Amino acid sequence: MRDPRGLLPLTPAVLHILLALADEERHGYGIMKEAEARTGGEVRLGPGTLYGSIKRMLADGLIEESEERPDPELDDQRRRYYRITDFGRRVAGAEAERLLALIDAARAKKLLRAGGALSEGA
Amino acid sequence: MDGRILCVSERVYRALLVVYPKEFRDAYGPQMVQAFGDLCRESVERGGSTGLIALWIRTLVNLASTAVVERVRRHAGIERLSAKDRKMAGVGFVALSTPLFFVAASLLKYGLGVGLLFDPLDRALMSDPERLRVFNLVSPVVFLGGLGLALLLNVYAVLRFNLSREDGTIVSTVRVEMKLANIVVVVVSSLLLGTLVGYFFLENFAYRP
Repeated sequence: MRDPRGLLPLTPAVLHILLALADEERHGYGIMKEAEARTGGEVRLGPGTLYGSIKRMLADGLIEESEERPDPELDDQRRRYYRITDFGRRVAGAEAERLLALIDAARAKKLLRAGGALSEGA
Repeated sequence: MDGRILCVSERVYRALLVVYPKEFRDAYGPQMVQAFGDLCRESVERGGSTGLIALWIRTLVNLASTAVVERVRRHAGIERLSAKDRKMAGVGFVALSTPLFFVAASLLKYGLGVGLLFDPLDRALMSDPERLRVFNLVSPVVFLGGLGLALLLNVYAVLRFNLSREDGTIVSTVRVEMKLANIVVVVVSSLLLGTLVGYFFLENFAYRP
């Protein structure tokens, strides 16, 4: 079984794509919208960043193309949908744990308050 | 704002995709255009022409930066290797290690007069005639076999042959895939084979007055 830590650290774009696909299959534009909505508009994946990342994530086995259409009646047949693989889920989990450890370290050094807000100087 | 502007935007974006490598364009170009079209419609709905201009600025910056990344990755051969390619490169490196050591030891000794690698080996072989006999029997098989194996496996990993029929003529094409690790093995094993074969001819057939 492949070790998910072999692919860490993930780029922000890859992590956002994995998060967008964690709960449902989406097409490219759907992934962009989910990331934008989840981050309050802070993250806007451009088409080049999105599909460059998708290409490498397919090669790494983090995501796969889905044959099924969530709603074939309403949707454009040309769209390609992507879904997260089991390996992709484990990699996303490992990355989240890595980030959590960093946050714990920042908190221990009093860079973060207990609630998570940035400290405003000493 | 009429739909014509959106159509023109999509068309211009499609034309600009030429900055990406062809393989990338072929695989993802239509999806990128479609996603950009969706973004255009949304930007116009939200912010009219200002929204569309803002989207274009962001998109051009994104296009330039990601096209550079895709082209550099392609030309530097730093696409991720498949598990099979990695295995072939790994076997190649192992097969290369013994001949590489002996060629390096001989070149250092007879080229630069440095016996650091050669002398201990020479002493070990010369002190025992049986060991020397086995070495003389086994070494050509290990050296030439290892080099040949490394070369063949990795040539197979980087070359793609294709036969097709065009207008009644059979056309064959050969494509070299930029897989850096496999190409390194091919180059090193070719150089070593050339060195060994050249040395063999010099030793056995060179004219000596």
